[in-house]
Amino acid sequence: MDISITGLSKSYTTRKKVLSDIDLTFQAGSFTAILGPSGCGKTTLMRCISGFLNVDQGVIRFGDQEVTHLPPQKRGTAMVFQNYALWPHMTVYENIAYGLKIRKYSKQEIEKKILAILETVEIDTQDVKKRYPSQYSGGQQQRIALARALVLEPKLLLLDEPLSNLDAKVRQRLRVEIRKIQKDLGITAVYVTHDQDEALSMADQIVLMNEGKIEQIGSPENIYKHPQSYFAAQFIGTSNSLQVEYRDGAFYIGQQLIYIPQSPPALNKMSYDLVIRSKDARVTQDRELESELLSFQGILRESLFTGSGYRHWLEVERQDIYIESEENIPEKGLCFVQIPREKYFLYSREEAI
Amino acid sequence: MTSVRTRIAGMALFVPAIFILSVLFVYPFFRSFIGSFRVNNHWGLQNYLTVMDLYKGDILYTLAISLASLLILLIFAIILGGFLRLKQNTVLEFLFKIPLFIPFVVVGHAMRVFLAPHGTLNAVLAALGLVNLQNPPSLAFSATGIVIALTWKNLSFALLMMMGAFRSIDDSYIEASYNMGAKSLRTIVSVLMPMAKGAIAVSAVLIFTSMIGSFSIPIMLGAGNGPQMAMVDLYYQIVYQNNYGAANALGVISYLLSMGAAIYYLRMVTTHER
Repeated sequence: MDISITGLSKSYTTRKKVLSDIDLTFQAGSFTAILGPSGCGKTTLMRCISGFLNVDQGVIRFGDQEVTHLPPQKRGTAMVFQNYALWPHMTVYENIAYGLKIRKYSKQEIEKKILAILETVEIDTQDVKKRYPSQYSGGQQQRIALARALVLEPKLLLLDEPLSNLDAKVRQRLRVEIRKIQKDLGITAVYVTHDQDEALSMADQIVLMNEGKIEQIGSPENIYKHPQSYFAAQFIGTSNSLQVEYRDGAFYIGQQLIYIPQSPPALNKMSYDLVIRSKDARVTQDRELESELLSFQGILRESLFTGSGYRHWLEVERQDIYIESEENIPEKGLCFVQIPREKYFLYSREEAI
Repeated sequence: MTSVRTRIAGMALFVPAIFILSVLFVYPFFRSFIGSFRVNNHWGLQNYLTVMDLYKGDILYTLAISLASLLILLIFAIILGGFLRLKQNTVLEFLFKIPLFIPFVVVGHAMRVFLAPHGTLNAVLAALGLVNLQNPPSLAFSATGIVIALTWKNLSFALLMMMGAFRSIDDSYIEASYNMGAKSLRTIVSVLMPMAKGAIAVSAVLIFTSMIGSFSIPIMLGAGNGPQMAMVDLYYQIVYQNNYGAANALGVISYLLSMGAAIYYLRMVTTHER
């Protein structure tokens, strides 16, 4: 069952729209990450889908059924919250049984379902009837919360930054496991996050949002390799941006002439943003003049050892950029930055506004 | 050096509070307590025997009225507070808070007007053909009248306490409940109420204590004959019998009832708290 959103708009006050003209489809069994900086409207969008917020305009469909104005109880979505939201006064078992009791399953069925789902999320079933959520670690609590959501066999699983409160190691592990469980159960999932690594590694489809609008929709690879806007390019990956100017028939960074094989703009003068991913550029001390490479000079200020390599801080025409590479550069001072043609992105300023 | 000085300064800050508590509460209570064991300049338990003899039924009546009012009140306050927590309604909330600013005597009088045999309630019921005004039933001047008035008067305070406790519960717990398919009432009973049980117990104790000690509402709305609430008896002992010994004994018993309730509930709350 596909889930579709058409022309959705939402505003809290009359002045500013929190969401405008959202068009989206979540394919049955797919995993979609809604990615964006804080305040981009991603949580609002999720709350509209789950029914906690009324939309101003637009239609939400679960398969053939229109759910735009259904209350949250009747949508058949299940949500996993950032703070787990496990009820502290109920045992783990009671927490998971809550929704099943409302659906009037028999005691035996409830028990069977709970034991099965706990197995899926790898929580020891031994004493779940006696233990309370606070007796479990954060990662385990989120597994329990996931079990509570999954046990209802929801039409749509909604995850609202579920890993943000956990430490890095647990987060890495749960990412893989959530994805695996989602695939095994064939459930449609929507995952809200501000963490691009999470979105890139887990999702089939990424919806990149900014200021209440969809910036780009695509597969993780597509979004990473072909960012369609300045925002997309600088948000994804560890990116640097440099101001580039077109004047007198050529491109410049500050006073430095650079060669960019791009048809000149209609105007005589124009500003651009050049986006470079930290990992895609190379820093060298002797310049290789290759037409395959974009190349410019800068001053190496500092190199930091990061374990797997080095992080170089360069100043290019009074603008700072950071390049990561495996090799160390022993001498500070003049050096060159070189980037393969397909690895940098140039956006005219009009687009960025 | 400084530690001694800060310690003295710290203690000095307590002095006004301790002074006020001593003068206004500890000393009078102590005098009542001592006085309750004095009969004609002798020590003895005679006052307690008198009170037990005269008022055993009234003490039970006081307890029963207070407990009944408290129970009805808590049900109302929890459900009403719960709905106001789930669905914001500032107007309704304000309306229910108004009784907080109305004195007991005024509530007593209003209830008399409302519940009397020829009062507002019966007039409305008669207009609907439900009550015969030739021989009207009376809710005022009965135990029911006291229960209704006590419940109504304390509702705003109870609601204030519930709202405070319910508001401190994060939205996600409520949304999780809705999301699992629960309606509002189930969410109130299964999520809000148990999560706020500490605050509910504390307000129950506070309200129960004030109900046991209530005077103006029982005297204005109670039946003229038949059982009376403890504070009414206490008033009669002082004003009509001039028997301060018995009045003190009754006061001490009422105090112990309130204290007992407080200790029982607070212990229950602390042992169940995880």
